[in-house]
Amino acid sequence: MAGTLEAWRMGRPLPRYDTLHHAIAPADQVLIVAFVRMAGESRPWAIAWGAPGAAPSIASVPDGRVRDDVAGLCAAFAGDLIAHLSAGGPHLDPATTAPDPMALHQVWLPNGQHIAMLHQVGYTYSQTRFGGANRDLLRAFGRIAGWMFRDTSRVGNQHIVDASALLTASYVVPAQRVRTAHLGYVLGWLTTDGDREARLAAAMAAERLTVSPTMDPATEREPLAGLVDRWNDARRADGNPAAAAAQIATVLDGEVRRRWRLAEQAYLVLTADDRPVNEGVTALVTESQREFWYQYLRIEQRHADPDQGPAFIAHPETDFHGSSAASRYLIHEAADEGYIGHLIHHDHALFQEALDDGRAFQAQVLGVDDAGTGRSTAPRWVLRLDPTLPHRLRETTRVAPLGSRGHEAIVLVLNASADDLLVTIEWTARKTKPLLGPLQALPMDHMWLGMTVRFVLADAAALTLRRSRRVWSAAAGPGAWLTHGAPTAPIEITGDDDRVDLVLDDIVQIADGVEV
Amino acid sequence: MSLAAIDSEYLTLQVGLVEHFAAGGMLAVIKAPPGSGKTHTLIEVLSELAAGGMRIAVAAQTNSQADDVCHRWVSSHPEIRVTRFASQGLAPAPDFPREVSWVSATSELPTAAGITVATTAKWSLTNVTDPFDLLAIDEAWQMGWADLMQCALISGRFLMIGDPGQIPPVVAVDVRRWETSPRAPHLPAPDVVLAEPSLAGVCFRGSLPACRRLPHESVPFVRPFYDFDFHAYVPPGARAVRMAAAWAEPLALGVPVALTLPTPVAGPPVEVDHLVAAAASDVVAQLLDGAELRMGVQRRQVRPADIGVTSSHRIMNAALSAALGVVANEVRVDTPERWQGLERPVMIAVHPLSGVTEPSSFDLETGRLCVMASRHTAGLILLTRDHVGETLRSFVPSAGQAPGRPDVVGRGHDAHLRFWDALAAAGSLRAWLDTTG
Repeated sequence: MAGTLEAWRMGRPLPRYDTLHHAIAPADQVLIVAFVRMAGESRPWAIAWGAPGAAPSIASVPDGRVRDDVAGLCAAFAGDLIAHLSAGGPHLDPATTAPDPMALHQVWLPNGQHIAMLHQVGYTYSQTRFGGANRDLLRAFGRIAGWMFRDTSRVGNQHIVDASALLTASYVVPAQRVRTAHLGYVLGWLTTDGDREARLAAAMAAERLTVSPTMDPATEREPLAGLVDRWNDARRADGNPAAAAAQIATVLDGEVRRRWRLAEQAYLVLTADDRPVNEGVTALVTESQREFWYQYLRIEQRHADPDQGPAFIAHPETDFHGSSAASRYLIHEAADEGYIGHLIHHDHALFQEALDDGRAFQAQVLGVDDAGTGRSTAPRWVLRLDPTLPHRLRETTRVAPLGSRGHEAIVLVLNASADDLLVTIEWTARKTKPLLGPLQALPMDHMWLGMTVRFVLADAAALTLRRSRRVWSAAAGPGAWLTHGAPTAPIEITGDDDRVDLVLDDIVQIADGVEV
Repeated sequence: MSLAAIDSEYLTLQVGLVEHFAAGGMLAVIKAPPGSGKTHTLIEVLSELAAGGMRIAVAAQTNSQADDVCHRWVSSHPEIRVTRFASQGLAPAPDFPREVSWVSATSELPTAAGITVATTAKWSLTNVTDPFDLLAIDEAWQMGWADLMQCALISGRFLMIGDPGQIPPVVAVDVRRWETSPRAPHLPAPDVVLAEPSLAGVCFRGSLPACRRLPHESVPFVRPFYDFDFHAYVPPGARAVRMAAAWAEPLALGVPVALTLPTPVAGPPVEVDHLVAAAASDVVAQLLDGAELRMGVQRRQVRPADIGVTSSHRIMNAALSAALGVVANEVRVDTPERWQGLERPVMIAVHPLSGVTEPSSFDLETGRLCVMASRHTAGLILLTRDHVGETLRSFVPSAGQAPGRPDVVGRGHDAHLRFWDALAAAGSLRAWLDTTG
């Protein structure tokens, strides 16, 4: 709130934090995508895609309700999308080589509603029985869209960028939060020269135009509804629908291009930002590439080469298989736990925010001792904290020194009085390695006496990742009859032809030995 | 219902559980109302099973809970061999009972009959070569399904006991992907078990019959938070707080009281409400100025350590602590999450909707209010802005849950409304400013 008021006083958006918390890939490794859909339909009516700085490819169909036409539209886009993302992945197999963060290929979309279109695409096409010659391509399109959608809910993901969310995460805009969800509004503030009134006017003007894939109802009624009727009438009467089709394409072109341009503008704003990308983002990219490999590319290789065994197809709705659900949940939990831990060591503003919130602290070192016995080392520090500042320390809390991720200590004793707070910590990780920073001293070095050291709460992401693997291995345990048994819920899906069908669900696949 | 009849129900349940597992039963889920003696029941049942030769693992949700279970075991059943299994970095507290073995290595786990207590987190990463005969889970509604899955290596038989009205496991990530999964990993493990029809035939289901913590007259106020019925164990009129203030009349009868402050025209302060904090401070001062605590035949003056204070927001708790001044050193102020499992003779709670005029699903989740309303053994004083009743009555819950999932928001709204209406019906809604003027 204070930041928002300061931005209002200054009359312009202000940078949020000292660094950017997301990778920004080079333009030739970015594909910007925008959708338009017909009201009430879940599939695209028009799609724009292309690299920033170049003219986008734009394709549309005259009527977004005609399944085969929409399938053709999607097929036209699918190849480019798959090729683009996959180009970042040939060398991602962690068994053969370490992921190269520079190889990251991103897809940028204007906002969360465009990302939700990926879910619709995944639902529609990942197991489609239609599409004729395009069927396999459409299924591949459904699979990649499904993976893209699922990965966007993993904190710290780097492949799929919600331009609106990234801008508001990177800048404090002097407006209510609900208004900053509009990409055009935020860009109006960010890209307009002049004082507060000029920026506000530009933002409010942009706000009148919808960014969502669903168009303004007025536009859809006039001229589109009449044109679509004319196109359908001409088609049914064996007339010439081309004229109506061309007019529809012109309108849709303008609509989808405007949305695409907004996402492109967001990309250009962020690439022009002189703040560095946080050093911790490299680790986030590496994690994202591992996810991309294990959850998409590796499986696609099986689709391409049946000799490798049957390939797993994730269900678009949920993970029906208990182990699959729990494992993915824990992986997402680990990503969430580790996210701030990767960034906070390289961003003073982020550290200050944690300090104000009690998730970090600074303390003077009063004592250095080694509680180890024999050849073991157990460096202990006694720290003095300002008792008037907020903190969330408890005995057994794990902490890490700022700037030296990997080092870790556990809080052993808290001694609080009205005017003093003494904390005893014992170093538990990298305790025989010097801390990074100006002193470069071992934890048990008495040079630390009298120094002020800053700490952040340590995360348990590595432990949570272990637990995600444990979910699978526990299937061999005696309690698996309860914890890993198949649920009895029927799994049905209604197809386009209203036929109710049992889908190729994940439980059946895993039970049949398909490698997840 | 008479105390003898309630005691008989407890005994029947314990006997039933012992017979179920002694006969090879695989699974039991026991619901417990607040302060109903679930850990006591667990200790009694497991002691009998251990005495019969079973080797039992007990999962607690925190290290302090695990230590507390060990303390209670030693004092009530010293004949049972109890082991505390803990992480290597953790040392026993100075007052930890010496009768309990403290082990950190898996190889040191006992192989003979007895009880081994550890946290769920510890069990979930432990590979045992010789599985236990039973895994008993205390506070089971705080354990997510994903956590239980990792414990499949520990035992093939499960006993879950807990309070379903408490705050569910913390979920920090976007879980929409798994909302419709039949094994939703983020849901409380007992809820997943109870929702699975194929387990009905093997699962022993039961509930503890009575709340022993709350005054008899307070029990009806927390029933709306539960889907099973239970009795009050404390006799009518046995517990109360007597004080001179007119607003405190309901407390003298063992009934909670809600003190309302006017809601500003512009709406209530959202997170930090300094007037409510000041009112809480005044209430504490009045309690310490000669209020009498009646616990059965015992009567004495209220002391600072008898009082607990809670609100949903950490920042509001900081304001409450600041308003209390030096007394804050002896009065525990904390979030309802941290109050779970604890109790005080007198609790002062800031109603979770006090600063909310447009409740979200988070606001209407009943766990926080349920915890707040069920920590006292003698008196509960709620502080709130006076819009809450109107806010609840004018709110129309929308069913935002995934298909096939329970309408948590609608149920939460209903429970909140019933709680508020019960306060109104009991004459417990008192205007704070009017009564102090």
